[in-house]
Amino acid sequence: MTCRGREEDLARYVAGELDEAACEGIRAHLARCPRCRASERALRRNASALKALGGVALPAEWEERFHRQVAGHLLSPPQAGRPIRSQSRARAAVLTALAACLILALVAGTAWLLTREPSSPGRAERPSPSRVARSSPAPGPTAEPPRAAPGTQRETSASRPAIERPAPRPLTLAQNRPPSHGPPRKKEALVIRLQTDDPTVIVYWQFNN
Amino acid sequence: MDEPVPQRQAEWPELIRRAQEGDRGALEEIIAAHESKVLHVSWKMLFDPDDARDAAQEVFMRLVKYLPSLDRERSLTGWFYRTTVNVCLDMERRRRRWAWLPFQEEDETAGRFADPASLLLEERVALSEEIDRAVRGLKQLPAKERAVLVLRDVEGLETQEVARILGSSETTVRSQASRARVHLKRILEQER
Repeated sequence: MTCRGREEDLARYVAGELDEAACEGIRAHLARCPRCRASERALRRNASALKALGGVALPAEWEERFHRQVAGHLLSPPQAGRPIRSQSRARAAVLTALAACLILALVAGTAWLLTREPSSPGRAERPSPSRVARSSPAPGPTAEPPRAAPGTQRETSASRPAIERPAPRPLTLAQNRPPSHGPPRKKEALVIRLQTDDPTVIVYWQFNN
Repeated sequence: MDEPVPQRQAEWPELIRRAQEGDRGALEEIIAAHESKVLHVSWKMLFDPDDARDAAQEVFMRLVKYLPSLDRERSLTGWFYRTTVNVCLDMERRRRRWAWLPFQEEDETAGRFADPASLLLEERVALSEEIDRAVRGLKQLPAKERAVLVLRDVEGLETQEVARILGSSETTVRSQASRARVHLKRILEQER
């Protein structure tokens, strides 16, 4: 056995946890190994320090203060069993609550962005051609064609700066569309999938409209 | 082992029975007899006055909570040791979970300076160089190894008792204790 392998035996020897035969073996090894003798001295020093730590007395006022707290919170009838929150625990609770709020806000925000009504301005700027056609109140010979003619489109693009490209006309048509027109739009459920570090744990959130 | 002072061991079952029946005086007596020991063990497990106070307080809250189901025939001191160690291990885990927060340490220090009664214990107790080394070493040990050393070498409990408290066998406790002693020695050697 190497000296390193003997360290735990040496610790047991110092703590008096070995039988006499094992002690004899350790003593014989110590007699010829200066390195293990140094280890033994260090282990004895530590054992003595640990024992001394057992005798350390806490400040009396600290114990009194604790006694008052315990007596006040656990033994007085109106507050029996009520937890006394320390600063660190209160801080952890607040941080947990904040983190939970942040996650909820993120999830709710994402859900809102993905499921908001098609008539909202962001979508109305680019209505699909079919919707423009459906929402046209009275398509007639003089009415606006369902799709802008290719020629008109080119003309508009050429005369305006690129940033003003969204055409105001389709927006007007979409907004004017009576809500009862057309088949009811089927809303899809929003599913958020959260992959954790553990490949066997996947968290799903489903929001039904 | 220091048995809590005021009562003879034979009187504990009677005190527990009275406390279970709602005798506030009996409960107060049980708490008064154990609070110093619980506080000491908590501090030796956590080395932080605030956390030690929280842990000790949690132990007594558990006493109140589990009082109705407390076994009168089993050692009450053993129950206190076991609960204190478990609470401290839980607290250590929580502490590690929040350790990534950079401002927490600063905040705690600020709290201590704001409240002189909770100043770092090491600053208020004149620890000898020898004990100071032991504290520094214990702080760096993993919590479970620290628990074994605190119970076995600091509190001076018998291996059999430590095994009962930690819910393991005597062989396991002996092995864990000797491993922890070697680990402590290496930590302190690296400090030099």
